[in-house]
Amino acid sequence: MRKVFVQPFERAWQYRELIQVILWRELSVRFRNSFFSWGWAVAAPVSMLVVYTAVFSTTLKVSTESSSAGLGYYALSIFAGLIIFNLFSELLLRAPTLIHEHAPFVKRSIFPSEALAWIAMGRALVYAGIALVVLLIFELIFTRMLPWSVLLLPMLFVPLCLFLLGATWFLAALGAFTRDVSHLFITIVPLFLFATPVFYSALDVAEPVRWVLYLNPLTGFIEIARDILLRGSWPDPTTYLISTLVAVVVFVGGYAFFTRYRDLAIDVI
Amino acid sequence: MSSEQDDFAIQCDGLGKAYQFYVNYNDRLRQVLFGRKRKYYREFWVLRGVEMKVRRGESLGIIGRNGSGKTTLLQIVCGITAPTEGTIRTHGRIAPVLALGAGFDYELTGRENAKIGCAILGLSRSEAAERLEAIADFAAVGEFLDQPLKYYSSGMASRLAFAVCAHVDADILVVDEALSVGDEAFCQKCFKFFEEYRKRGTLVFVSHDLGQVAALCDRAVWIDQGRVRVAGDPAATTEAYHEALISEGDRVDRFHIGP
Repeated sequence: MRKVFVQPFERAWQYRELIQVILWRELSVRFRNSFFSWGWAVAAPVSMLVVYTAVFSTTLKVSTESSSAGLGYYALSIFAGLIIFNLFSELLLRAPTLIHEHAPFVKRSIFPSEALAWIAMGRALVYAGIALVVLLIFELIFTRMLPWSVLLLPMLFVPLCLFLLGATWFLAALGAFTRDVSHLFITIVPLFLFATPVFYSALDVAEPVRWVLYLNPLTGFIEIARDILLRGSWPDPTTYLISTLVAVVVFVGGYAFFTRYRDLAIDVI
Repeated sequence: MSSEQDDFAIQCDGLGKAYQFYVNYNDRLRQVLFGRKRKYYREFWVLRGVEMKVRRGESLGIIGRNGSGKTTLLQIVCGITAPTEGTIRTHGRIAPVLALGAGFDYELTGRENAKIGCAILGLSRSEAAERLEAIADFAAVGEFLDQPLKYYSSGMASRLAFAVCAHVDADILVVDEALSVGDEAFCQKCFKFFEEYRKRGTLVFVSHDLGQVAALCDRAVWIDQGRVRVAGDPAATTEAYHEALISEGDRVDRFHIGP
């Protein structure tokens, strides 16, 4: 019990300075040598949100649940979905090559390879955080106030991060043995954009088949995000419980898989 | 802990490392998925039956031909890769210098890279900040310190990397062919550093420069095809190695996979 639930956090705490430094390195390289530097990190979500608002509030109305709630709301609903989706896709696309990418670290220095997942997640969270701030600002502009439930955001991020860490560990270890994992994700992630309620809401799907949508772990997290950020309510208890349970299982399983195969993984890359 | 154990910085007992070789790439995945039922690989023993003890404060030189297992031995000593058989015990903080500039980023400046290098070698941020001046002095790359690493010559980058390694306080410094870089003046400086370091720490040192091994080490180990062939006095060991190099020549059948 202790080994899978406590140890990952203990070790991450032990290596926190290393994680911070490498995370800082990855972030600072990203926009170096550009005049607007971090402005680009803000420009991307802002321009996306502006275009969505323009397009989806005038011509395209795919979702009945969201579009009935007024101008801008639908765009925000898509945007909330996209923040979660992009967080997943950035990590899952990168995870299979994570150990390859850091081969000099893990093969030539005493580097705790499990820290790579924390670093990758940290980077993805920074971009998601920027997008989230943009979303909240636009919501404030559209509706003049933010729902109280925004305070529940940690409730979303704790299970979300557990899920992402577990998935990253699992895919990183597996991806060290075969490049197929990487190709698989490059192929299916774009398809998942439509199998996930990003441009529509789970509530738009007829009740009898809605559960199919929830087989996709992103659905739960996206709907929780919308409850908290837009609908101004507590997350749906069933959705929340199941999502958290899945997250814990993925976290524990991913960590166990990673620790079991990491030595072999380092030998084969 | 007995006093005998305390005397040794590194103790290897019957150390062996087998790498798995696969005929085709997919077998590697099959091994992970169905590995409990059968083996999909051929084993290649890079190291076998290595007995090695390094006393605290001792300097050990490791010599041997390409592919004889020197780097793998260092990786095991550092705990980067796990031995397949046998045991390894180490006492004290280890700083591995297996590749100069592992983890350097060429878009970042020398100063930023030095900071990252310190973190990877296990220094805290405050320790790294304290040492940055000394590292800069040692590297002596002047104004380039605040330029991106991509504008450095390869020698300059190596200077910086070595300077970082020289400023972590390790109990055991593990060095893989680090002195082959840089100009004569810098090599002298590194050499002087090692002489200084020997007084306070344990040094494990791989080099193809036999003169250096003889000059720097208290003891030398010659690794040949994964086994210790000769160990002992550095002058005698390097001498024996040198003679074998001449008489055995460079033949293709040295590299073979399998038992």
